[in-house]
This record gives sequence, C-alpha cells and structure tokens, in this order.
Amino acid sequence: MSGDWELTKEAFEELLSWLDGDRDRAGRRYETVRLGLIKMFTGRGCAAAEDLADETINRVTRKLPEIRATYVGSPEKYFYGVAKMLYHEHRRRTEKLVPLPDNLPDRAGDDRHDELPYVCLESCIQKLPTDQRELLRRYYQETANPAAQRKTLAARLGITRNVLNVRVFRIVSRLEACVKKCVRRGGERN
Amino acid sequence: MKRCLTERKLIRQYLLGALDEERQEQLEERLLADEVFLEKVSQAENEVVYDYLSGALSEQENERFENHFLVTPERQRKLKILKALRHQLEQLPEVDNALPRSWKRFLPNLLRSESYTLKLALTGAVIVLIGALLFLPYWSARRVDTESSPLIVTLTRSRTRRVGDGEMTRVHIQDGTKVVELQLLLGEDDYQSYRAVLLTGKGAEKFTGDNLEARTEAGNKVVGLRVPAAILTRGDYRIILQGRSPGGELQEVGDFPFRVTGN
Repeated sequence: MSGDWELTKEAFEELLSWLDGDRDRAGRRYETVRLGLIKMFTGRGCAAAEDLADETINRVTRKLPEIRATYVGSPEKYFYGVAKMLYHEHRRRTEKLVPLPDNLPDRAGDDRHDELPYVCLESCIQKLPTDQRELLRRYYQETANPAAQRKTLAARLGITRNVLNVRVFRIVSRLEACVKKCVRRGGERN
Repeated sequence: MKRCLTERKLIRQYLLGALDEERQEQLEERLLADEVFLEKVSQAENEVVYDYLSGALSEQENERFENHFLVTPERQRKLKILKALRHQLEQLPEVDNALPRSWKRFLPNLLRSESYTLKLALTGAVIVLIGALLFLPYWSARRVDTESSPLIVTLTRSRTRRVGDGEMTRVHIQDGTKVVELQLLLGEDDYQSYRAVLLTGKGAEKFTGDNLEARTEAGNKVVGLRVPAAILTRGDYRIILQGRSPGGELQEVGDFPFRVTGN
C-alpha cells in the first residue's frame, strides 16, 4: 500500500519527537494513535484495519519533514485527516461491507466445531487466579437482572460499578490475548 | 454521572453505526488522542457483544449489531471468544470464599470510588469548607450589597502610562451609599468575558470582579464592576481590565484611573 517507501528507524524517531519531546510520553501517544486508528477503521467496517492504521502512520511519517515546521494543530488531528483520506481511497477500491461469513456463531448454539480457540480458552481460564475466575463467573452469570447482580457484586468487593466494569474488562482483555497467543501456537502450552 | 451515561450511550451508538457523521468524527478524533477514552470504547465493545449474546439488545440494535458491528473479522472473532467464554463460565462451580467481602460494602456506590480525582475533590471540598468558615466574617464585610441602588460612575481608560490630575475622574461618595458601580467604557474590544481588578494608588489589590460581561448603556459599550462603597476610602485608584479570549487567555484591555475625594 505504501509503494516503495519504508519506515526507517530515523523517520520513526522523527515521528516520536514530533509527538512529544519526552520519549516515553511520545511512545504512549504513538500507541494511542495506532490503537485509535485501528478502532476507527474497524468501526468503519474495514477488514484490514491494522494495515490501514500502519499505512496512515507511514504516510504521516513520510510527509513529516515537509509539514513539521509549518503545520499548526495537534499531531492527532493530522493523523485523523490522513486516515480519513485513506479510508475514502480504500472504500473506492473495495466494497465497504464485507459479507458476513456463513459460520457466524449463532447466539444460543454451541460452536465446538471450531475446537482450537475453545480449547485454548479453557486452558487460559484455568490459568486465571481463582478470584478473577470467580469474578468473571459472577459478573457474567445468567440472571433476570444483570444490572442488579453487578451492583451487588460491586458492593461486596467494596468498589464502584464502574471500577468493577473496568476490572472485568481487563481480565477479559488478558484472556483474549492469551487465546490469540495460544491459537497462534496451535494450542500447545503457552 | 449524567455526562458519564451520555458518553456511554454515545459510544454504544457509535459501535452500532447509529451516530451522525459529525458526532462520529468527533468521537473518532478522540479515539486517537485519549487513551482512557479508547479503553472505554473497547470496554463498551465487550458489553455490546454480551448484550447481544444474552438477547438484551433491542430489535433495531440487533440488526445494527449484525450488519454494522460484525462486519470485520476481528469483531467476529471477539464474538466467538466471548460466546465461548460465557459458555465455559457457566460450567464453572461456584467458589464462594474466592471473593473478599470488603468493609466498604456498607458505603454508597459513590464513596466506594478508588478514583484519586474523587478523593482529591473530597479533600478539596473539606479544605474549601474550612476556609469558608474562617473567612466568612471578612467576606461579609466585602460583600456587595446588590439590593440598594448603587452610585454609578463612568470611567474612561487612561491613554498614558502616568496619569495626571487633569485626566483623573473624581468620585465623591455620599453618606449612606452602599455600592458603587464603576462602569468601564470599552472601545472596539470584544471579548467573551472580562476580569477587572481594583488597585490602590500604591498597587495593592482591593477588589476583583471576574466573568463580567459587556453591556450597552446609553449607546456605549461598558463593563460594570460593583464594589462595596466601604472599601473606597479617599485616595487614588485604578482598575486593570482584562478580556478573556475564547481560548480562555486573558489579554489586557485597559487601565481606568480614578480618585475618591470623599467617603
């Protein structure tokens, strides 16, 4: 997508220094921009969201020596402008909507035909500390009133519902990462 | 709390492709710049998927979920994983003593917050309260009486750094006057709001008015500063007027000198 231009170490350092004078802060800002771009392209229905995010970063980095002295505004705004242009190009090239695959899991049924992620998930759940596993179990427990269930759970732990939501989200994110890693390795012990 | 709920609703609408273009762009820009917000969106993705799996979405949301949310392979994968997770969690036996019972369970939701900001805010509130109690008598003395009719004095800005006697507006405050409204004549200046600081001739700050708005009096644009008459004893004074730009910066507008000849 990016033609023959490649992101060099020097160009990347230049990009970081544009984002922030402090290298650590620049690194965090870069990560937020990249993840934000992926989320944005995903939200707009692009299957290759990661590639498009990287292409956006490449284009901005390539343009940086020209614009750095004169551009006024936040780097994120510039990234966003480039990302929108890229999105329109991409849309012209491809269909916006990717048809849904036939094997989309139905809500109620069992998808055990896709064994590997299932096995991986099982092993990743087992690796969780007991309190985290129990927290997830109670949080997602099927009940007539999930909101009341979560309120009681938050009260028991002495935290707000918002903190509870964040805590569960972080456990699930770690599980997802664990499953991804396990699937990549073909299910062997990770 | 209301802002929080609105934001949550906004994120859900975004995920389900139900936002108008302008709001969508505002939200996307924030995604690139705010890591906390980015995490909130990821969290909302999981919630939407769970609501879909438990049949908690409305018919219209369901349709949007399937036709908009699920169009990328990454989200289809997420649906599969979360669905399997839900299924597996159902199989797990209950471990009652695995979760601690905190003493904070007796507190209301708000006071259970682990937020440093909230703790800081509560500490700040206590400090402000103590401060208010300590300074109440002083404030009462300086309080502007808004009910009695004020003595109105129109002041023009000084054109020179040093003000001579000839240019100085003279103010004589009659007995019984409680409030003096100093109307500062504006030129072409146009700011969102103004800040006026009353200084003695020696430069000591006597009174400050902030977030003052310009208004028209007898065809002139003025900013009015109401001060208690009691603080204007005989002597020279000046008011420094500053204008607040839309970005919140204060810029100097002018210097308004006057002399109180009797009070």
